[in-house]
Parts: sequence; structure tokens; C-alpha cells
Amino acid sequence: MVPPILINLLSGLSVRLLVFFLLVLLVFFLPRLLPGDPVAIFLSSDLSRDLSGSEAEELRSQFGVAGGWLQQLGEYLSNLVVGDLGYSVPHAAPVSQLLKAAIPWTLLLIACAAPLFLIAGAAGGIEAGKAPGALFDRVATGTVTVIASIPPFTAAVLLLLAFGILWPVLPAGGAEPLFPSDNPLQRDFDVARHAVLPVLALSLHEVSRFYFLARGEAITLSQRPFIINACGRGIKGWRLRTAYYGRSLFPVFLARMSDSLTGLFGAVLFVEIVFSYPGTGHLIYNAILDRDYVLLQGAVIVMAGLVLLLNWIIDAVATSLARRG
Amino acid sequence: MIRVEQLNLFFGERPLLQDVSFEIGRGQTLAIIGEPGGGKTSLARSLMGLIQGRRLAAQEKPLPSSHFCWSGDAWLGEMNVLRSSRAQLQAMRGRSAGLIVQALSDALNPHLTVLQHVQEMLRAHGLSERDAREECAIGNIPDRLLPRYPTALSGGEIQRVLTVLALANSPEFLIMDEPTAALDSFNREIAIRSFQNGSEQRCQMLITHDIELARRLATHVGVLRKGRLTEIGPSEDVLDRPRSIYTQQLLKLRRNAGNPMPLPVSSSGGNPALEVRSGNGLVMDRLSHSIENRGLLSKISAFVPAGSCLAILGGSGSGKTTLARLLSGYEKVQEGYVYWQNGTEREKSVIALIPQHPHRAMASHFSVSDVLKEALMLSRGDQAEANRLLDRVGLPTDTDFLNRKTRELSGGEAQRLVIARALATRPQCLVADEPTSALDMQARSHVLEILRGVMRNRKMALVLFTHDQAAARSLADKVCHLEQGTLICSEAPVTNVAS
Amino acid sequence: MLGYWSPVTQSAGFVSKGALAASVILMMAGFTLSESLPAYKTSPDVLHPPSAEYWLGTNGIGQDVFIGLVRAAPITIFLALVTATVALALALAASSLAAFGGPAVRGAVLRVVDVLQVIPSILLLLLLAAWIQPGFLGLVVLLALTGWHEDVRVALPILLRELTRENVHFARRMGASRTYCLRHHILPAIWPAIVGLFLQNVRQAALKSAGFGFLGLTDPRLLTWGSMMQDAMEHLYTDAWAWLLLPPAGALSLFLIGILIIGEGYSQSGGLTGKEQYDPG
Repeated sequence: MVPPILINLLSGLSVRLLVFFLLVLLVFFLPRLLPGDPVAIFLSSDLSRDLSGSEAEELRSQFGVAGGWLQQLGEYLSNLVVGDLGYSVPHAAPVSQLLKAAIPWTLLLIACAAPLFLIAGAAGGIEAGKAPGALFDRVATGTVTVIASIPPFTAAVLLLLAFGILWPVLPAGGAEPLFPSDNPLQRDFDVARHAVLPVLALSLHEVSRFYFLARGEAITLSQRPFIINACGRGIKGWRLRTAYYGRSLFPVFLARMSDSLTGLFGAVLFVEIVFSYPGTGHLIYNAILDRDYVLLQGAVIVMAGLVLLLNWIIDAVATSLARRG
Repeated sequence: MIRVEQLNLFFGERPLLQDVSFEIGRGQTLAIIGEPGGGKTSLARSLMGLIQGRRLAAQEKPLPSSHFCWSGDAWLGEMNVLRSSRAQLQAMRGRSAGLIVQALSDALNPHLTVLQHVQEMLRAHGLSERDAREECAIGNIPDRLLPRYPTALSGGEIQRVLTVLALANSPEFLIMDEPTAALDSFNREIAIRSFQNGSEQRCQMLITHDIELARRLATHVGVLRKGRLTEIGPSEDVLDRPRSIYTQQLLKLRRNAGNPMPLPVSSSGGNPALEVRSGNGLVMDRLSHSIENRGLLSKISAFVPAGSCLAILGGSGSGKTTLARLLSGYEKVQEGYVYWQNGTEREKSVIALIPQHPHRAMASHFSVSDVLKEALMLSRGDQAEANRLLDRVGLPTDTDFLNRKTRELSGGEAQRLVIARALATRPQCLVADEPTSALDMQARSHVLEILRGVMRNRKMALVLFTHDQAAARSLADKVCHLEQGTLICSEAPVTNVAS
Repeated sequence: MLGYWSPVTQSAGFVSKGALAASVILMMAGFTLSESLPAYKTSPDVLHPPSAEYWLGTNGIGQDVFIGLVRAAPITIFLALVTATVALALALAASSLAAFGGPAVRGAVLRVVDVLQVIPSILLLLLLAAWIQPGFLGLVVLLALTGWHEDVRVALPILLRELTRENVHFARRMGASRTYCLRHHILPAIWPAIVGLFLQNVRQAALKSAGFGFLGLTDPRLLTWGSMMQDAMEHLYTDAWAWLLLPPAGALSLFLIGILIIGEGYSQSGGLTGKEQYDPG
């Protein structure tokens, strides 16, 4: 028998493949629909220099804008299939190579921050929602309301100022020291130290989402007979919070996670920019500043693919959990 | 012993319990009987300290809010549960005091199996050395149920699990809230025996609407009405020689529900299609209906003469509500006809629906006068009619009441307003779908009285859908059963369909 | 024809109309006030700390931060309000289409919403914004087009619930028109939810547009609190961050908190419940 999760995975795949294909088309056509072509914009930018006609033509083919649209599209897609995302002139490197170096850092931040904000959000939300209106609820909800109203980049800047510059206990930027240590242990330690502030900034931004979700659910759960009965049986403390509240929150959290992945990737972008963290967000920002549209297109396609991939997996897990009840 | 002194409980401003006082000594069982919505479950939860909210200060009046507040005292042994800290309450629950509630589908954790529930209970109270399987066997839970999740259990099975859990720690105080409502007669006997077993060592409080259960278990009986204890005493006194009129009514109602009496039945027997149709009346002609290809109703035919009432009995899920909506035009008729027969002419029927939940039938942002004015406007009636209609259903006509929002009305008031709205459309026929099931006893008899009045005086046909035998008996000229989508109007005495 | 009805709709819409009127007046006052202030122009006083002359100091090209703050206020708020309104209008149109249009149309609308839900819109927005450096209108269009679908997920179930209520059935059966039901039964009932959605949209739009300003992706001539914060990024290692970053960040946070508190009050008075709020953060 086929496990249900596999069926869910398959059924979710088609729509995401379609979305991805549409996105690729959009990314391909948008620059061509907008006024001016990439070469002209590139030439008008700060990097511009005098080019001969043949040089401009060469640049044109490098940007993939030589020839008719259909021919361009065919070339673009066939390159995409073999993983060729083009060549970044400012970085003097293939886009795929740049992304390969950047993606692990972005994933590292997300992988470290996700457990942090999920657990903090769930624990705080359950505690507050168990007794709405009590002291803990008022303090926690007030704090989270304020946190939720600080734009992600502001929170990141404030953290950077506080612990990176005014009281410099942690590195203020980058993912590693300028000259990484040869000792692998020391190197891991340095990476961890550099990740603390970005992870914290990211978690701070995301925690409010899950805190409010958990609190709202916990208020409803507290009225449900099975929780009241469990309290009546003397079930309390850790057991009540995990096996009763936590277990019931799980599907809701998964659903919200799959919905808010886009927001998470948006937030990571700001955090990386503030902390000069060498992940994809930083790469994208520099591509914008350098008007490096080849890199920008490639990064958008790959990141979109990544978001769709994660969203696909989380959705499949959530659906099979929901089906189990 | 359990001692409750002048307990008042409010939800916001609304009183749930008022000035409740009683004592239950060791070896005694007090049964609290009364209607649904009388505050019985709140009383059980208060005694376990399971109500979240705050204590009112002396002389403090409750304010509108969405929280509970209370005054008074409730002692379980040496402990005052209404003044204890959270930690003290947690130490008491499941140890010296146990709670058994009605087995609703949500009574157990949907993510734990039966065995896990029992193991968890034993572990939480330091009884890990005991074998969970043995505990289950004592409560008549067979081994095959142990690995199941609550969604795969029947109501009776859930009830047995709840009983095992509550009795696992041999509590000194046992509080039971409808503990046998979901059980079949065999398991009911087992449960009753387990409550009797060792009851001389316990103080027990039983909350129920099952008079028979109260008679068998209780040494004392209290009657709770709208949050007040109207009568309390030894069970034989209260149950056999009730002093208050309310208790007498309640006992009579329950007795009637328990022993069905013969009802007026159709003279034509099991084939309503052959019925003689003469004079004016509502005709249902071979109505069939299916939802998502699932047949719900098949070939329903009936004739309801003007000025008479057809009662249609049936359990939940028998298609009652669908038929009611078909008749009143809320649902499109798929197959068959509904029409009004005027002598030999067929007319389009004018039918008004009186639904089960009156609040859902009116826009919550409308005021009382908005409701009637809209109905009169849409049926091109006279706007001045509104007050007469309110009078007819026994509602006040002062400006204050006319400006009240429908969401602020009580269930009885709202249902009467819906009837008034129905009358405003000058229907030939009223269709009432469980019109009294959400109402208390007094409102119920009032609504039935109004229905009877309009039916007789205005020569209306009334189709009453209900599972309330007493209501059917008091109104109907003819009674039919809706079973598996077909209408059966048999000569045989009506069996007990009320559950 | 329905003169007697006006009290009902009036009381339901009173708060929101009042709030709307208040924000319009505030905005007009803001625009007039900023007109009467000196221009937001460059000066030789570069990175001047707060003083009697420059209340909140000056930035890297000598612009007065206080004047900028006041001038940016109405633009920032107006941008958020307009974006929220457009997104909500789109969402309500799509929801009505889905609710009234029969199962096939509803399926199609829901499919589109599903697709939009998995599209990583922030990346597309970045790509577009990098290309066209949107001004006021551009931002409104971009943010509204990528934000409306979340509202449909909240609004459609509420709309369907109200449509199938018995009071609507009754009115329809008695011959009332659809417009009549919409005006007198459905709209007043879903009004609190609409206001709740609107307030959430305002927050989302304010946060997102500030983000674009911060990244320097908006038209450089469009002065918002977000774009003012971008000035601070180059000066984190000097003292200037304090007067460059904190005033616009504080103003934006206060605005967001204010909206959240109004929303809380609304949800308590029968608007959205905690479950229906898709994203308070």
C-alpha cells in the first residue's frame, strides 16, 4: 500500500511545477516587456564604459537578449534545465556558482531560527492562552505586540547596534572571520558566533506570528472538553502543555508555516542585508545595487524554487497529519 | 464531606448559579436534576475548581465581560476550592476528587489511545506500578479497544474510559455529570454498580436529567432551576412527594418522555399515497431529494388539511430538516411537488418556516421592529400590524423591546418573534422544525400554546418536525415517522424514538 | 423606500466611518502642515546632531530629519491606506465572484488564490522594484496585486456563512432582491470583519512599503519613513544612527501599534476572531 504522505506529495507537485514554470516565464518576459533592455540599463549604469558595437553585441548574447523572443526563450529554458543560470559580469563568476555558495548560509539562518521562534511562540502562546487576561498574558501579549510592530530591518539594526557596536560582544557582520581558522572546531565556533545576531533578529520577527496563533488556539482549546477533563483528572504541567495543547497545535503550526514561508524568506533578506551576511539575500541586494540583472533573475528563480519545495513538503506533511485527525 | 455555601456564579453579568447551598456527607449521594441550561454543568466544574475567572470582592457587583466570577464557598473535605491556589487544586484533582463527564465526542484527547490515557493517569498520580490493562479490564474495556484513538470509539466506550480514569485513584469525592447518558443498558448496569460500589466511603454528587438514575443512586435530590436550588431533600421525598410545582412538572415531563403513550395515528395505514384528499390543505406529492448523489428522501407524500397538525417524528439525520427546508422553499425541490389544495384547485403554497434555532433565523443586527417591518414590507402587509403580531405571540410592545437587537433576546422570546414574523407573511401553512428543542420548559409550553392557537383559529395547516413525543402528542392530529428517507404512518403504537 | 432602515446601517458603520473621516482629516492636516514647513532641502550642515536649529539633526546630505519626518508622515500613511483599500476591494470582488458565481467560478477563484499563496511574491516584487523603481502609484499597484489573495481566504468563508443564513433565505423567499439582501442582511453582518481585514492590510502595506524604501528600491523622490531609515545604514558606526534611525523607526512602529490596538478593539466588538486573523505579525 502506498503511504498517504506519498500521495499528498504527488498531488501537490503538479500545481507547484506549474507555478514554477509560470514564474520562470514571468522572470523571463518581464524584463523584455519593460521599457529599455538590460544591456541599455547596464550601459547607463555607473559601470558603463565606452563599448564598441561588437562588444555590445557580445554583451547582448551574454545577457541572452540577442535574437528573437522564442529563440531566446528556448535557449534560456535549455540552459536552465542543465543548471546554467548565466554569468554575472560584476562578480565575474557563473550565477549558479554564486548561489551555490550563498544558499547554505541562508538555510543555516533559517534552520537555526525556525526551532527558536516556533518553540518560543508555542510555549509563550500556550501559557498566555491558558489563562487569558492573567498577568503573564498581559505582559507577554504586550511585549509581542510591540515586537510585531517593529519592522524586521529596524529590529535587526537595533540588535546590531546593541550587541555588535555599542557593546561589541558579538561580531557585527559577515558569517565568518576574514581569515577562517584551520581548526574545524574553532571554525564552527566562529560560524556560530557570527550567526547569533542574525538568527536572533530573524526569530524576533517571526515569533509574533506564531505567538498570536498559539495564543488564539490555546484560548479555544482551553474551552474544549478534553482539556477541561484532563485538568479534572489532575493532568498538569509539562504533560498538559505538550501532549494536550502542543499536540493539538502541531497541524495549525504546520499550515501557518507553509503559508508564511514567503514572509520568512523576505525577512531573511533584510536580516542578511543588515548584517552583511553572505547568504542569498545579501547577494540579491548587491545584484540590485550593481544592476546585475542576470544574477537577480537567477537568484529569484532559484529562491522561488526553494520556497516552493519547502512549502510542498510542509503541506504534504500537514495534509497527512490532518487526515489522521 | 462536600459543603457548598451561598455559591453565586456569573458569566459576565449573567447569573449561572444563585445562592446555592447544600451538604453531602460521607456515604451520601446527592442528585441534582433540572433542565438543560439550568447551570448544572457549571456547578460540577465549580466544585472541581475548573472555572477560570475571579472571586468577587464583598459587595462587588459583576460587570459585563466574557469572564466568570463568583462568590461564596465550596468545601471538599478540608479544602475550600473557591479560595485555593492553582497548585492546591491541581494536587486535589484526580487524587481526592474525581470527575466523570458525559461522553461527548471531544471528551478524550484525540491524539492519545485508550491505553495511553490510562497509563498517563496512573503515571500522573505515582501509581506506575499498577497495570493499566487490569484497570481497563475492571471497567469492562476489552483489550481490542486499548490501542484505539477516541475517534474510533463509540459514546459508550468513551464513557467507560472516562469512568475508569475517574475511579483509578479511588477518590473520596466523586462528581458525575450525566455519567450514563451514552451507555446501553448493559454497560449502564456495570457503571451504576461501580458507582454504588464503595459509595459508602465517598461523597458523591450526580448531575443528571435521568430521574431513574437519580432514583437508583441518590440518597438526596436537589432540583436546580435557572441557577437556583428550588427544592432539596431525601430522594424519596423529592421524587415521590415533590413540593414545588416546578418539580412536579419536571417529573411529569420526564415520565412522559420515558413511557410513550399511544398517539393518534393515521387512519389510512402504511400507504399515504392512497389517502383521501378533500377540502383545503397542504399536499406533498412524491417528494424525493438527494444531496451529492446520496438519497435522503424518497417519495414523500402526505396531505395536511387546513386547521390540523401533522407531526413528523424522526431521529437526527433522518432528513427532517431537509424536508422542512424543501416545504418552506429554502431548498429547491428536485423531484415531486408541494402545493396548496383549495377545494379542487391547486395553488402555490404560502408556507412559513419556524426553525430550531431562532437566533440563526434572524439577522443579529436587526432590532425586533426591523424583523417584523421587513416581513410586513416584503409580504406587502400593513406596517401597523407589527404590534398586533407581537401581542398575539405574547411579546411586549413597548419601544424599549422594539429596539432590542435580536441577539439580545432569550431563546423563548426569539422563537416567539420568529413565529410572529411567520404570521406576518399570512401563510396558509406553518412548518416548524424542532421549534422547542432549544427552549426551557416554560418557554416550550408557551410556544406550543401559540402554535395550537394559530392553527385552530386561523385554519392553518401545521407540519411539526420533532423528536419530542410530548409536543407531538399535544398538537398533532396525525403522527408519522421519517425513517431512512421514507414517511411511515403506521397504526402501531409509537415506539420510543426520543433518545 | 427603506427609510426606516438607516439607523441599523448607520450604527454598524458609525465607528468605521468615523475612523475613516478622522484619518482623512489627519492626512489633509498632515499635507497642509508639511506644505507650511520649510522645504526638505540639502544644506551644508551635514550630519548635524539634534539642536535648537535642527530638532532631530540632519542627514548625510544636510536635510533636516524633523522636516523629513513630518513630510513623510502623510505620504507613508496615505500609501498604506490606499494600498489596503485597493487590496481589500480586489479581495471582496473576488470573494463575491466566488460566492455568487456558482461552483465552477468558485473553484477557479480558489485555485488562483492557492497559486498566489505559494508564489514567493517578495522575490518577484524585488525583481520588479529593482527594475522600475516604483513611485507612489507603482507601489500601490505592486503591493495590492500581491496582497489581496490572503483576504479572500478570510472573507470568502464569512461571506458564504452569511449567504446561507436563514434570514437571507427568508428574505429571498419573500421576494427580496439580491441587492436588498446584500445591503440589509449581509453587508452589516460582515462589516466588522471587513474593517478588521482593512486594518490588517494597512499594517501589511505599511511594513512592506517601508521595506522597499529601506532597500532603496522606491523612486528616490518618494519620501517615506522607510526610505529615511535607509539614510541611517551608512552611519551605523558613528553616533549619527541615533537621530537618523530612531525617529522614523519609532514613528513607523507607533503607527503599526496604533493600528493593531484599533484592530484588537474591533475584534473584541465582534469583528475577526483570533482564528480568522491570518497574520497579526
